[in-house]
Parts: sequence; structure tokens; C-alpha cells
Amino acid sequence: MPLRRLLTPLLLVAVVIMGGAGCTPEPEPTPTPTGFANADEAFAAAEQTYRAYVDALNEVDLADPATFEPVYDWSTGDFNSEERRVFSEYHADKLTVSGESVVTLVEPVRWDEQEGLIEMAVCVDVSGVDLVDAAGISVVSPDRVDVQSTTVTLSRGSSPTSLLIVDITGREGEPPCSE
Amino acid sequence: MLRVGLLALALAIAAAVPTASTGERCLGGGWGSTCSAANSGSSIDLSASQTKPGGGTGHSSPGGNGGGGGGSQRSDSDTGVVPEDEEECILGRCIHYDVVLLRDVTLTDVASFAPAPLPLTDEPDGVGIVGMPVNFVIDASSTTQHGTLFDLPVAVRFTPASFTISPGDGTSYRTTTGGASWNTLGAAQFTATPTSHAYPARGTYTATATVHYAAAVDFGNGWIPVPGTLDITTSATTLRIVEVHTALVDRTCTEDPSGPGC
Repeated sequence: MPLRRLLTPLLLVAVVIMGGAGCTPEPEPTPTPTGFANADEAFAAAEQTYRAYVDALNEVDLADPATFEPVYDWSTGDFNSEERRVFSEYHADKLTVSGESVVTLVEPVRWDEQEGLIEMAVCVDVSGVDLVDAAGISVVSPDRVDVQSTTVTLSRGSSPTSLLIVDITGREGEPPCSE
Repeated sequence: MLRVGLLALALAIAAAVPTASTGERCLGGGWGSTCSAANSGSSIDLSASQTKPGGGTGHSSPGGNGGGGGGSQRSDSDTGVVPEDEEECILGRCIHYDVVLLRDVTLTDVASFAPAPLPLTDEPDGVGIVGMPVNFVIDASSTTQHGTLFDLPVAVRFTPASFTISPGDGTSYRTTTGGASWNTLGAAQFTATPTSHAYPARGTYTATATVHYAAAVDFGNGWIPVPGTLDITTSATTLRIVEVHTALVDRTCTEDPSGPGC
């Protein structure tokens, strides 16, 4: 029976007292297969999913939260929750977005059938995208690169492509996104 | 009664040290800033020493003894928690410590707890006189909301730290108070206050204010400030600023309808 204690605001200690003289290992999570016949099929669906996500991003009107929903439809889990928070903030801050994100590169990285995960290296050109506040002042960081270099992770989920984005993270190294 | 060793736990939050090889999460389409490949967050340095056997009861108590140890660095995983298994076997009994670190709480994490926008009120209501103070009042107070963060019960407190008032004439100024009505202050109308503003020209103006909230979270063991401020703009208020001219007359308008200003 686990007993969890919060020792400090940053530290959570859970103490599990195992019965008898031995300790039993944690059960392994059940593998989730991607359900694709081969890697090509999996990566094709993954690319289609990511491009649909970017298409949905390009249709976002920050003044109209209903336009956020198609973006959310392509992701799941914590990433989805964080996206909802970010777009809600943009909306609350009365920001306006203009311009379009353009996918310039999608490259397969990993297809893990056991974990049910697909990873892709992606370059997306955001140089045409501007985010301005109610006063019309851009809130885009001056350090923002023109082409974002990211890793997109997807897993099986309920969508037209049967995949959902579980994470998008910054990436460095090959393949490069800028000269 | 099972006796376990006392684990003295020293927790230190080290200065920013890039650690993880995975990049930061790239949200909102990567519109606002570069999707960083580096983990730029600070790391948590856990060091532990243990003495056994000790006087603990086997079950840790809040803020008391017991607990786990072991070094672990924080992860940038936005699941918020990073499990770290530890095991301690004493007298043939094993205690399994599941150490979970919470990542630093950011304003983004607590944004969903944010207070609702407040109204901006002005005195005199809706009108003002060129060159004379209009008194703005934002009735902001500290609020605490309860909910769940990182799957843990949490209280989030927002305290108004400062205010930026934009009267709508192109100026803005920052105050540390939301102001109070002339009546509350015991002041006469058109008295200057820390939140008042005198418009230089007549016209119709739309005034707004932004409340800069300082946030803090409490997971049950004290308040931790969240870096930065959460800015929430009040509703707008429209004012008509008029000019007032005075003239000395020797009779009222009733007595002399054709007199100046009548």
C-alpha cells in the first residue's frame, strides 16, 4: 500500500512497504502497438498527421477559440493540455497571429512498434508568422529563429490518420533546418 | 513495529545547469520563440545521507523524519513528475522509496487558475474635466484558488503586485495600488490620487488597466512564489472629457437668459 508524502513543495516521497522479505518489481506498462504494417506506412501517416496539425495552426484566429479545436484534435496527453493553456493565454492576452507556418522538412527518425511511438525530425518555417498584442506590438522573441527545428513524437490515437501528436520538442543536429 | 533508518535529506536547488539532452517542449506552433533543443532549466541537486538504524517509525510524517534520498536531476518532462526508485532493506524488510520530483512551477502552469478580469471604475462616473484629476479605481485583492496541478492538490494564490493604468490618451503609468474612491479616501472630488489622471484635452477616451499579479503555489507545505507576474487587463471604461469655462456674471441665467454662458 503506497503512502505518499510531500516532504517539500518540490519533493514528493512515496514510501511503499513491501511485505515479507522480498521486494516485487514495478509492473511494466503494456506496450501499445502502432498498428501499422511497416515503417513506411507509419511515417506516411505521421507526416500526414503533422501537416494536418500545421494546417490547423494556420487557420487559428486567436480571437475565436473555436478555431483552436482543430489544432487540439491532432494532439493528446500533456502536450494537448499545454497547448490548450498556451492558446487560452494568447486569447486572454488579446494577441493576434498573422502569417503561416510552412513545413519545409519531415524526416523519419524512429518507429518503435513496441512502445507504439513514431518520431520524426521536422523543420517548420515560422518566419512569416507574427504574434502581436492588442496595441499591435509584436510579442515574438527577437531571438526566434526563422525555421524551427523540432522532433515530433506521435502515437496511436483517435484521429483521421489514427495517430496523434504526443510531443513536439526542440531539436539540434541532423537534419539541419537552416544553412 | 518496523524500524527504519533515518534518512536525512538535504535538498538544494542548484543554479541553472543544462542537463538533459532532450529539447524543451515546443508549444503554440513555435510562434513566439525558438523551440530550444537545450534544456535551459535549472537542475535540482539532491544529496542524501543516512544513518541507520534510526528512530523513525517507518512511515514518514510531513516535514518530519523519514523520506527518501538519492541523487536525481530534474527532467524537463512536462508531465511534471519524475519517478526515481530507491530501495532500502533493513532486517530483512525492504522499503521501496518512490521519489518523485516536481518541476519548477511556471506562470503557464498556473494560468488556468488566473483571476477573472476586473472592472475599471472611474470618478466622476464616465465624465471628466480637462486638466482635473479623474480617479481610477481597480478593486483588486488577493485570491486563492484550489485545484490540481501535476496530479496533486494545490492552492494557487494571486496577489496584485502592481497596476498599469492606460487612460487612453497615449499615456500609461504604473502604481502599486489599485486606488480607492474619493469617498473612501475622505477626499474632495477632483483631488489627485495615486491612481488619478488629468487629461490634457477634451474628447472621448477608452481607459483600461492591467493588474500585474504575483503568483504562489502551495502543495501543502508552504507557499512557493512563481517567477514573473501574470498580467490581466481590466475591462475598458469610456470617459468623456469636457472643458469647463467660467465667467463672472452679475445675474443668474434665470434673471438674464441672454447673459454669457446662458
